[in-house]
Amino acid sequence: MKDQQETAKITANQLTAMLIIVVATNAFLTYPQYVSQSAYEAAWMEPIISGVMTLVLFFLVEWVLRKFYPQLDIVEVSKEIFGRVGAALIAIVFAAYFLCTTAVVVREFTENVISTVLPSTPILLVGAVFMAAVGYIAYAGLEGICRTAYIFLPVLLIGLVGVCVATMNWWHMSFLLPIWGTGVNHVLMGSCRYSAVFSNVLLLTIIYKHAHNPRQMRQIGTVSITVSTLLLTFLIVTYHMVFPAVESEQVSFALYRLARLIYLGPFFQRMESVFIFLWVTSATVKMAVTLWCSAYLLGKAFGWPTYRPAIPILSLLSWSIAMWADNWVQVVNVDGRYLMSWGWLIVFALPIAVLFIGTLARGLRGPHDGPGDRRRRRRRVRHA
Amino acid sequence: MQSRFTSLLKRLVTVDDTVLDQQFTLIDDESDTSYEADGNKHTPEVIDFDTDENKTETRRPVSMREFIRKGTDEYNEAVRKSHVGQDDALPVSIDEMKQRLERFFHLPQNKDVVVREFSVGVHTNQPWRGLAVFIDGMADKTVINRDILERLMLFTEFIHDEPRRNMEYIAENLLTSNQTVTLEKWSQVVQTVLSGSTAVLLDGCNGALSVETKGWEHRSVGTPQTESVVRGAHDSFTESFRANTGLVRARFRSEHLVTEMFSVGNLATTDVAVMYVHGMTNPKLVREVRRRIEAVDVDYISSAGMLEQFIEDQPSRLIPQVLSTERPDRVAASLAEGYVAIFVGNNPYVLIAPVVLYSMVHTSEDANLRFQAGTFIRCLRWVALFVALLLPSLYVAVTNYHPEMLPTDLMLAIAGSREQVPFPVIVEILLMEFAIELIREAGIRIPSVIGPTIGIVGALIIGQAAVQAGIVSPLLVIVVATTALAGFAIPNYELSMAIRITRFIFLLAGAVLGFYGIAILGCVYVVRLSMQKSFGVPILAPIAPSKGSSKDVLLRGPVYTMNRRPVFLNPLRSWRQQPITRPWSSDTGRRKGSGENGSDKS
Repeated sequence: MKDQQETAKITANQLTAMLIIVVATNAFLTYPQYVSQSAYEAAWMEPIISGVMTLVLFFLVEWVLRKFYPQLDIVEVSKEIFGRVGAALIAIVFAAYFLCTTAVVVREFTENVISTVLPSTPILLVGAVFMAAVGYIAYAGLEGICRTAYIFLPVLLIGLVGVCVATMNWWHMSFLLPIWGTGVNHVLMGSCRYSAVFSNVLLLTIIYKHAHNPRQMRQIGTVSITVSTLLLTFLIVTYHMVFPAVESEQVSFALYRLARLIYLGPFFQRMESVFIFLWVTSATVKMAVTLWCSAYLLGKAFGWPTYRPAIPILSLLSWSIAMWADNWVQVVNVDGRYLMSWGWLIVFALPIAVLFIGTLARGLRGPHDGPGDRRRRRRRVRHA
Repeated sequence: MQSRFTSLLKRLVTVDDTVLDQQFTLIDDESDTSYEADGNKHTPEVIDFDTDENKTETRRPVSMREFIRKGTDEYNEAVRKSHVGQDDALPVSIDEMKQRLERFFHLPQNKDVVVREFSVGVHTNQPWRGLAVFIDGMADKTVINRDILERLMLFTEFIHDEPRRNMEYIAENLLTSNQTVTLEKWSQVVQTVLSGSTAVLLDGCNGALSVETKGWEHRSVGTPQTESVVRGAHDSFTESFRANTGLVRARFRSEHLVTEMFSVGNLATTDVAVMYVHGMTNPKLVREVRRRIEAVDVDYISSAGMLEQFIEDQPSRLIPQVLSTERPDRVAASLAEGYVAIFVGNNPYVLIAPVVLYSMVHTSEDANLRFQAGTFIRCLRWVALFVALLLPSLYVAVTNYHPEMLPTDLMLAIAGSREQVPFPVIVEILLMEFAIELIREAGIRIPSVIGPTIGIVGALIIGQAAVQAGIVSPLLVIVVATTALAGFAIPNYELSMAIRITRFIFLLAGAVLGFYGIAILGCVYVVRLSMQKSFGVPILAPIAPSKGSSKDVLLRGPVYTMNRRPVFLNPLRSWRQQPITRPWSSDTGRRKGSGENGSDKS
């Protein structure tokens, strides 16, 4: 059976849209709360620093992939370097990270929905519906996800910018002072610690071979990281101009808090329900990406002819993990303490380490002597 | 009298089921030979699919491959048997020809197949017998009388010795019909007669002549019924196959316009024509259309709607994957853009393939209006599409889950109006939607003589009476009526049907989970749409996947800037007009970037 994803070739603007949504969706999850806790008034600087750092690493990884591993993803690169078993282990680590991310976001998202718009609905129903939709979208494959992301990107842009601009009458510039918040060192530490939201580097190593024109990858990375950084920064700046820093660190759903303040005359008030479309569409796309990545990596690692049968299983698994925690506080603790704080190890460090070990090994043993090279050459011919 | 009374009494007290035997039944119909005329010994070959050799029942386990192979063999054998005699060469003797005609056309029971016997020539010692075969009602009798029978019977004196040469001589010199073809096989003769032409068979000739005499009754070209426009052409396709192709060719006068003909159907054939512009339309698209039509293996195709279901990519999807139109100007414009048109015999709708979602919201009128007006009405239709799809579900979601969104006064007004209504909102809205759907359906089916009745009944159902009866609230009437109007504003009937059905799914989602449910379903629906294809073209192209195109997708650009053909069709010639189309104008003659590729991409 032919790998269903093998032929998927995604255009640059669709990949850009997908990467923007994956990162910018953190605006209405717990990311604003974490950076507020970390830097107080200077919280808006953290996404900028994380974004710049991500951009530099993205260029670096893209250069290595383009120069040494064209048409290969991270699992195939790992196979060349560490063999099948090593590649499988690395893929399992990545897949587990994506699965846990999916689970945490599902729980955060459903808790947000329960606490804001559907207080009487059982969380199991809300989560199950969400997970089913995410599974369906992931089942459609990367093409379907990216096309959907491209269609919904205007909704995200208009929604995020709209909610910020519509609260203009509540802005207090003085709330952004002192300018360095908790201090430069805290800002830098927080930027590194919470940089895992910028998962562009890891995603790059997975989707690289599916780009319609890999030469545009640098442009895709630049635009997507810049736009998502600006969106996150804009939201956090607005959030901190509206609420004092001490208060902002207490709230886990910044966007909803802002949306509730919108008052554009007696007819346009209490507009927060309208933003449900924004949360749902973005979160669905983000979750579909992580779920798809998880299934795709496992499929590649174990040589499955297709990843699709894994999607329902992984959906169920991530939903089960999501419902594991007894309450919302536990989820936030797990997310903040492990996934957010140490996620950079998997999002940045591990793929870069794999690529650089591979590059060093190639340098040591010469350019054309490994079995992986032969495999790669065969693949190139087939691709041509 | 007494016996009748006794009979009645007997029937009252006895169980007599003989009355059941008197009922009409189709069982064991093979034994009934009453339809056969006396003396007719020629029965058509009967293929018994229940004989041992044709049974597909397996008694022992066989592999799937073997099972499929056996089934294919049996099918091919059955088809071969059903064509026994069709591929034979024509007999030479006129008596044998007549005998075979009687057997194939079930004569003499079949009264509308006419076999006219005649003698060729007026002054001959040895009469040369001939047959003219045609179907009464399909062939033009004036042409037969004047151009065939009169010419052969009265004006023919020369008879050549060589029969074959006589046939050619007759075709070239005697018959004045505009289309005359020499036939070699029996199946060609049958097909000729069934298509309305007249077959001329002469004694001693191993060939026949097919003379074009098609002339059945059909509706004349009229105004479009479902795609009316204010500004634009007012003619539409009719039930005549050739008239339809002619209507398009009369508009699109190009020697590169190609019309390929196919016959679809095993039991009864239907003419299907594929029209495209050679050298411009993507050959892969033409090949795919041709392949799918040729692969259709059915007994009978009655309409374009049926063929559409046989050739579309994913029949389970609600959104149509082929555009159906009754407007020749729309077909001509589509051909010019690189689409392929499919004509189905005697059907007033023509299929255009592939189709994208945006085409189904366009009308022929858009191009005839100036771009500002065209854009305005197109925006209106997009809004109508979303209103028709989402308004009832949003109403249910707002009233049930998000009432805080409404201004206080409006919320109190709604609550006050709903005070008398005993049903929940979802029941209320389903009742009204059901009523509207009934009115729509009845309005189509009702005879025009009693047409005004539907208006009165409809007004009663969804009007003041329903509100006063306390069944629905006044605001709901507005919601449902607006939804219905929006549904009518969607120009494509198939798309409108899809929206009608999908609306109920969204209604359910809104009723169960409010905005959250609608948003989730919206995501799923968009993904489903984004993966849907029409003849290899994603139905959301050129937006998702995004491809360059003229400004004629969501909005409409000025005609003098729409220079490129749709890129998603991959036409062989991508430019349909010069980059500068108004060189005399200082405003538009030198448009910014007009000389560069992709200048008109939206």
